[in-house]
Amino acid sequence: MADGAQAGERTQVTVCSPNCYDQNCPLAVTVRDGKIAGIAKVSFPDRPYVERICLKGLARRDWVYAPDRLQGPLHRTGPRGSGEFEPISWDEALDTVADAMRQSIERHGPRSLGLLGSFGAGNALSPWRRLATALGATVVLGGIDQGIPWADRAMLGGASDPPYEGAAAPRLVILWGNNMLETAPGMSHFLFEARERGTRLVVIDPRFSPTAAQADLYIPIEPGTDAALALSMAHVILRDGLEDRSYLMRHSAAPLLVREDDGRYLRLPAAAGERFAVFDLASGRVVAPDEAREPALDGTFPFQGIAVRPSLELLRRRVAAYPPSVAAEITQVPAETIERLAKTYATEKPAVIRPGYGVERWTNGDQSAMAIYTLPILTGSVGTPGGGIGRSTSAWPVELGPWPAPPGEQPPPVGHLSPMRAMDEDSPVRTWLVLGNPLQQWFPDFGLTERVLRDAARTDFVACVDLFLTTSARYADIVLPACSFFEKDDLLTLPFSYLGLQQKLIEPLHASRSDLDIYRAIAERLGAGQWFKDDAETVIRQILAGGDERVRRVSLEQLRQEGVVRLEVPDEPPVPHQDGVYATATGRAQFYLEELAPFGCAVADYLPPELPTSPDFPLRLQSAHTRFRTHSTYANVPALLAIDPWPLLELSPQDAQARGIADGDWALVLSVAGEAVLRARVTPAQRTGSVRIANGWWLSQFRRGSLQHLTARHRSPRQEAIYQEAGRPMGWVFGTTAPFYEQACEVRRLKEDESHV
Amino acid sequence: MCEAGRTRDYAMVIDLGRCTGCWACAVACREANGVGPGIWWTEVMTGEGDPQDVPTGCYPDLDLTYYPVACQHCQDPPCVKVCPTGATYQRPDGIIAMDYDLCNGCRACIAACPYGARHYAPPGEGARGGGVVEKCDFCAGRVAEGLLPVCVTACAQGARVFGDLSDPTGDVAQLLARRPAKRLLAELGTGPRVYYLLRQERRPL
Repeated sequence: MADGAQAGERTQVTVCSPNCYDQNCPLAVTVRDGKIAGIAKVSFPDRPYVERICLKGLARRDWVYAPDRLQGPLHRTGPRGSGEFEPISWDEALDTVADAMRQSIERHGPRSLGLLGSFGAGNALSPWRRLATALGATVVLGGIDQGIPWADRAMLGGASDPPYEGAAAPRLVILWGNNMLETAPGMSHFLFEARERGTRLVVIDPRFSPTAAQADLYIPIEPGTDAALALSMAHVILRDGLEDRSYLMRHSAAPLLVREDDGRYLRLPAAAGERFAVFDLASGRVVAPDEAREPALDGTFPFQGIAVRPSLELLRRRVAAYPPSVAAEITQVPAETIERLAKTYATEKPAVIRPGYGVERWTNGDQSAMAIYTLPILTGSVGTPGGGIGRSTSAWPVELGPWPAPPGEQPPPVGHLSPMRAMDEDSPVRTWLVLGNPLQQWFPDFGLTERVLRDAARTDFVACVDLFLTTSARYADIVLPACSFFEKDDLLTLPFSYLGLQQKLIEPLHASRSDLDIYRAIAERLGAGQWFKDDAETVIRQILAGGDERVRRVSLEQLRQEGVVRLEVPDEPPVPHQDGVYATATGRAQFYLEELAPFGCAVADYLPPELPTSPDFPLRLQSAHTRFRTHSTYANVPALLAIDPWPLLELSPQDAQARGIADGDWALVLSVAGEAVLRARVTPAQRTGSVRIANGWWLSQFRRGSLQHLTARHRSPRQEAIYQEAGRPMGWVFGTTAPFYEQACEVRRLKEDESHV
Repeated sequence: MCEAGRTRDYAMVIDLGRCTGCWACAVACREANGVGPGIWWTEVMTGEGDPQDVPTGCYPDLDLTYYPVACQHCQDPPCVKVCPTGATYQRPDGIIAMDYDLCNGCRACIAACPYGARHYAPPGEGARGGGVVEKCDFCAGRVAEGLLPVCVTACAQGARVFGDLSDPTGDVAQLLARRPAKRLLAELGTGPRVYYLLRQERRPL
């Protein structure tokens, strides 16, 4: 690892943490004379499959030493968002932030403080969350990409993600709205190795991505119609009797009877509580599942004056509306392709589905996730080696301990607010303390964000903690320069059952401080210093000591020495749900969610994208992540800008020609929300009718506007009703998503001189 | 490795079926070799010089193939022939090396190289101080220590394989025996030591 080491030079292992597809790559960092001299991949001779690194991690030196690193705290001198700042001392800056927060608490209560932090900037310690807890503030987080995690929890009980490593290889891999060869390069070798052993790869994506380029079968699909494709696959599987009836009877809620009157599962009184019920074809009676010799999976039965049906019958009825001929109209996937895909998926086992974020960045993204998660239940793929469904890599759940609260402290409970709601009229937040760049990344419709932040009647104060003057920092009154993860200690979990220490390898650059030191300094000024008495090392020791049995065996010293430490787990990863355990409401894998019956979606349905239907906006706008940035991190890194220099509006040759646009022209993009000006890239990778802007570019990198100025914040009445009914403040419980990919737009060519206006 | 004393014949094999065009090799090379801004010793070409990430064909029947390109370590290197100072030379093991102390930055080699693999570093830039023409040397320093070139180790996809072509049991010879390969601009007679394995056929459902 430390090859070619010179005198005065050392190489240590730390962990990269940009919140990319859970990779958290180990980095071998060479430090010479107090400076990072090089970054390389860490080798794992005993487990070569663990080795991974990407161009972004390799470019971290450019990130740390980027010319635009903040040189010290700033205070705003022009209007909010103008980018006009002057230097200020740390003490003045912290006093100003604390005073503003204190006033907000006094006048409007602690929930008027909105605290939020991006994952690229904070890890296990997350001092921003601790400060929110100490003050009883509002945590602004979540509810924008919860479709798939929610479907996994509600339908399978969670933690279903099939491992990449291990002996079991799928024969068929379906990457659904998932560009993982580009966005999770560290996992890509598993796919290539499987393909060389005969695995076939299907990629479903409206855009011909670098991942689609490697597919055995690329299925282009009309954006936002994934649920219709999944339901049609279920149609074919049930029509042709390709479902796994043995699995469905033993492990799924398919035989459980559902009442016609209220859509709930039928319960029978039992000695202790209630039991679910099935119809036993052998005895012709409604009995508890363990009393049935032959549970019915189809049909309608009378029971005490009401009609009851096995939940599979309800799925059968739903998918009756989606024969391939109908789904072909909706998805623009030929009916013959749907037939072939469904039959291959049901028969070529094991088959794994790895759905990506692409299917859920829609108002009805929860329904797409639910429809896709229905498939592996139908075919009995869940719980089989090499099969299953999931997008993550975490086969062994790791439980870290808590950062204990100081004894005797009982602050008011924190509030939770999704970014989708935090700019609403009734939002309690008036003072913002932001870590990283979430104001750009988590909030669609930046024009609204901007109006709220500039409205003195709505916003009292904004502070931002970051390394650079990102979009979020640009809208701050006070900017506090944070140090990078090379300049402080933090703790992380990694794929393949490793713990990692982010080590302080160099001193904080310029006048920057760790997020822990910054939030501690604010807490002390607000009388909450007791929450931050311990230094990072002490807290990490506590988190290790309070973790699960395997975590407790790892010491800080070992982590310091080795950087990353493998937990004591067997080499062969577990197959999720192979034990037949499903921590769901029925204790079984379930495609019927009774709590959604009042909203008409207890079985997944296809609900069309809710786009503005104005003829002024005939095109659709999507974004996507690329290999050059993780969210908005790295957008300013010179080495990466040398490859991918500026934002591009990608459109098909047909759409370009219809508008007189040539590759490299300036393009004006208009939506109901706002506008952006950037260069055009004409590419046949793009589906005609849809245009794309890559995610993560900062506001300052567009000629005018930005991606998020174009995106929409609309919410579907259905999701809204579920949210209100459920009364859950986080909006996570029902898989809330944000419609980042659900927008209509138009594109016009601009001349060079017009682009500046 | 090979028995002592035997002359090696270093070559690189790049699997076009595994390269996803990610540029990790390029950034790793730049990092390990102290390459200055604006220069890549190895870079990633989309297709045969298409704009970055733009496939060929008509949607959805498209092809997107990436070619990582660096010095091809030619058997008959045009750059060596034109170098007036002897700064660039061919080693017995096939590596086209540079003696940066001898390079006067005349750039004749840049004009001679058909692969665009040589780059002039302006004075003050890069680990060699600039004012010279720089290029990939198959990480000769690392190779001498028994390590692999850094672009090979950085490739998460395992698309790059490096080794001794004269060893019939080695990965390089084995891959070339098993899979069809091509070399860039082979018709020029330069004899590149970089081989590109052709992508395998798709196997539709």
